[in-house]
Amino acid sequence: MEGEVIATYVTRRVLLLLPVLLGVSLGSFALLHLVPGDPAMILAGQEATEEVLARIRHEHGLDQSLPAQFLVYLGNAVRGNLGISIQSRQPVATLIAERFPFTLRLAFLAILVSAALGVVAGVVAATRRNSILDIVALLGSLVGISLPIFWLGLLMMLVFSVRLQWFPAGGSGTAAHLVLPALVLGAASSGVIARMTRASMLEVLRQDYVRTARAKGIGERVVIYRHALKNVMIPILTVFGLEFGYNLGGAVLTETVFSLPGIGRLIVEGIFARDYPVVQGAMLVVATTFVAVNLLTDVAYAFFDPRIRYE
Amino acid sequence: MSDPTTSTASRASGFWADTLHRVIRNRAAVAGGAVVAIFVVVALFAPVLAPFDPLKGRLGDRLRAPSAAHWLGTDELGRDVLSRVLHGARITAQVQVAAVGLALAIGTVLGLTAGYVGRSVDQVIMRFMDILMAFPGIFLALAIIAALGTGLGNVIIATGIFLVPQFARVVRASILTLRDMEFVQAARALGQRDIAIVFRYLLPNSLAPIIVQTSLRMATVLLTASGLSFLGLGVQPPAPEWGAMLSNARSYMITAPHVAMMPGLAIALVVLGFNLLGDGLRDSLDPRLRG
Amino acid sequence: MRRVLGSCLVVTLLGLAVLPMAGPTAAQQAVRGGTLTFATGADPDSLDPQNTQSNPGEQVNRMMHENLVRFSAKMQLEPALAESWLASKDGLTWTFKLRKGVKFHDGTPFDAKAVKYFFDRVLGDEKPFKASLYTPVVQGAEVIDDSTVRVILKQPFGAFLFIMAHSAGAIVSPAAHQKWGKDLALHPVGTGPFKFVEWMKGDHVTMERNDGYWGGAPNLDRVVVKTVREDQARVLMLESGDADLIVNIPTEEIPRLRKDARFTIESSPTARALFIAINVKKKPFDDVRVRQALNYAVNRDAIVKELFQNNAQVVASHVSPLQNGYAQLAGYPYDPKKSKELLAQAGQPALKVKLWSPKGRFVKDYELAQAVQQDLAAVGVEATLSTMEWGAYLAATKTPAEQTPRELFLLGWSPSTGEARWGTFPILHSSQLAPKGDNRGFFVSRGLDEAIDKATLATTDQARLGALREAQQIAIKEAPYIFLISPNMIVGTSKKVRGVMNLPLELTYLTEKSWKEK
Repeated sequence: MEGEVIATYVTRRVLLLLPVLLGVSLGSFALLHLVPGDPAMILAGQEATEEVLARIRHEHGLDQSLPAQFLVYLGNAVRGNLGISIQSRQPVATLIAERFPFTLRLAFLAILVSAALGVVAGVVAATRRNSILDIVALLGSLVGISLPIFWLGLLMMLVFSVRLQWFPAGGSGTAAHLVLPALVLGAASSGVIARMTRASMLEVLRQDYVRTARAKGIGERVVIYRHALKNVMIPILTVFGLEFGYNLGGAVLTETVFSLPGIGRLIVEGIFARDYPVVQGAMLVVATTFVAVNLLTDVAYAFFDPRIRYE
Repeated sequence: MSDPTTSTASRASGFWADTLHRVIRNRAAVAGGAVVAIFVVVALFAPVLAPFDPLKGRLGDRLRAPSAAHWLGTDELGRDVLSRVLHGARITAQVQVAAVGLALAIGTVLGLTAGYVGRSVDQVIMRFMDILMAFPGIFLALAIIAALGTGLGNVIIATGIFLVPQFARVVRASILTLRDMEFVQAARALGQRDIAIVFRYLLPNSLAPIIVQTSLRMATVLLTASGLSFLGLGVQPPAPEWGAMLSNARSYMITAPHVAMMPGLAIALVVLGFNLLGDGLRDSLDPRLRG
Repeated sequence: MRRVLGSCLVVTLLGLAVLPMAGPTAAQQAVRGGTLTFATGADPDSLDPQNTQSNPGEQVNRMMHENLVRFSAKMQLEPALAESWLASKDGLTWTFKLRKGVKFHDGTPFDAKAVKYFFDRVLGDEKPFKASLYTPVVQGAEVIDDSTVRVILKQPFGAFLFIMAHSAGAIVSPAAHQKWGKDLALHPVGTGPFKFVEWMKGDHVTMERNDGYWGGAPNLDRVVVKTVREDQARVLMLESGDADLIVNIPTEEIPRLRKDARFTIESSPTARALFIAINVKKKPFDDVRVRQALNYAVNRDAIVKELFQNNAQVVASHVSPLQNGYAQLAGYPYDPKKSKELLAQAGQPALKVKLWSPKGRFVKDYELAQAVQQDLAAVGVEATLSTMEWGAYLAATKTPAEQTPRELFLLGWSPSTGEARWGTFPILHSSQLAPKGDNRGFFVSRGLDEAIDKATLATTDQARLGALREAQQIAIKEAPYIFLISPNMIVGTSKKVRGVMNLPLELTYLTEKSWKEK
């Protein structure tokens, strides 16, 4: 019975996703055509002779109507063909496959950092409510949300790479290269997680069953960990989903500050290089991934919190 | 069975704790408000307050450390950093007001329509918002910049569009709650026109969450716009936009870190101010949301 | 007496024993093995030598490809893939005797057929970007035997060997070109000391030792050329050891780095000239008074002294002092008053212009553009500055006149032949208008054309230099550019690395002789 309900929920969510994905692909497709200039000339890059232009028009079907072009684009995208980069003449899908895993790794590491920092801070703040620690944690999390990522990145680079020379200032290759970027990304979202954790913990701690457990004389620690934390995980899970998206966005800035070979920098450089197929393809991949992650988070949420399934 | 004495005591301490918290929160909100107020004053009076022309520099004066002549030092082209930071407030304020205004207008209309009309219109509008929100964080702004190009105007459009879903959702949620309330049903039953209902009852009662969102989104716009300029895709030189100043200062971080510190600090302070203010407003305007 | 003699002997013997140990380490043994990391500021635009248009690409190409003749570090011509050569009396035929037993990285043999293939390619329909180096000069090539090739010229050309030593004269494996065609840039195959492993666009190029190299197996195992756009990041990489060799060091860092015993920082003049090209087809830039006004507005001395800390020099024209054929002439002084007068005369007291600049391609290019922007603002010219990635910048500044919005754009030119004729012809001759050639500002001047042609056909050095001098004078007067500076090349090397090749053409690369201490 429960399985059926979950299945229905999931199916509904997936169905709701389809128009979103369609819209996202439409948005990516539209990019090349919104830019001023002849798309064929843009795609031809440096060697825009008449024959090359004609060939490109034919290859990309630019002489057909826009809706027809979109359908072709969609069909190609579904099959993994995201076009050819103007600059490097390599398939966009290859370029993305080279860079995206790096960003995912970074985002994941950042979530770990922010979870560690945030959950601990939030629990401490909630259990020592209204104490100095609480205030410090609250203020700290606010500061974390407010600090611009690129400034924090530059600061960390200045202190840890330039002055102390503990970590490299950029590039990739070893685990050490990921430390500063992950810290910078994680610090920003740890603020959000800390506040979320604190609020959820406070609410849970007020619940009857916790007070009952307390009254029964069960140790404070046990109360926290066994009863409170479990229920706190639910809202925190959603926050993770949101923070993943935030980290993807923040990754763009972090990758630029630390010269990392991720998809964020691929997009930024693609914009500078007027390499629209790359920008289109990368945006599509990022948005689709984000939507998928949100779906997964929602499903996990539904799994843990039965109340949601009946929405 | 809980001991009555204990529960009374804990109830009493709970109340005081709440008050203490509210005071602290309010103090924070006051601090935030103060920062925002200073920011507004600076933005308005930058030309009067700034000791130097932010666009004129003497190459012979470049990268000087803070001194009596230049309180925050000079940048890589010999321009006074303090004057540039002050004028940067102006540019930032322009972007914020325009972008948030844009998002507020469009988002409120969309949210109202979705919430009030409901059913399929609601679904369509919400799907459209979902599409916008499918591009995480700065990506949507980047996509718009990629299509339109860089510059102040396009930064406003890019950050504005990026905010529309937030406003739409907040307004919609508020409308949904209000729509089924008795006084609205009564007004409908009395034959009042929809538009009148919207303007007389729904909007005014939605003001609280809208105001909170506005303050919080000011912070978001600042971070996003300065992020775009930092990447080189926002406001272009020689404009003294804070993010762009940080970007230029990167090359001199080792020998002249002060050039990078000031604009970054300015961004952080103003964002913090708006966040504190927004939080404080949320707490005092909507008791249900108190932690 | 005997005791004194004895002690002298002992001391002398001891001294002789100690001396070799105290001597310079120049006689140190080269170390075999190791990976050298070279951090540059811009990605190669191509790895196909005949299609590579700028130095980042040329540097990397020089490690994988070779020419018939090459430049030594002192810019002398020396044999490379050709052992010897002979020019006919009328100067129309050059016969090259090629090195035997050389193989391309794909195993195919290097021979006269490969050289003929090279000429057929640059002269034929494919029209690679660098064809214009050869098409006006070369008629064709003939295979005499496997190791002898004859090149026939259209007219006698004194600088023929110079254009063969240009990076675009690298001989590519014909089999590779036939196999990959347009994608040759992604699969380079040459005869050089290093062979291609991978190119992750925008990030790095990896090359490994070519054990079969005719000059002897290289010392280094691998060379990784990393594209690190941020100046500071490159400097930090050198300091942390993440990079062994870096170029384009910000001038502010030089004093600090020079104090560190681990590195050698070299700042040396180059053959490059930086200038702001003007699209003379767009009004009001067709008015020479406007162009001259722009030149009077810029304070070059301040730029050299303050922005570059004297790691550059002011140049009067587009030819830098290091180019063969440079003429010492007076350029535009800093005179904002005169600038405003000229602008007023031309009816342009409040001009709005578009200024484009690359970022990170040349040392402080973007700051230079901003400094010019500031100077222009002081005479009433409002310049909007925008930037693009280098590859896109090259493309955007090469579009035909009817299609381009470009007005003022920062460029540099360094003739990889090292002489001023190639420093002038491709960028200012009327036959080289973009998109065909590199005259990206569409400048046309019959006087200048004639002077350049005279230099091309000159048979004596005196005539050639005289014609080049005339060309520079005309260029200064007509002001097709805002003339700026010649920047130094600033290279930072870890003391552990030896044998780095630094050509004053701003080309830094590694050879089979380069090595790195463990």
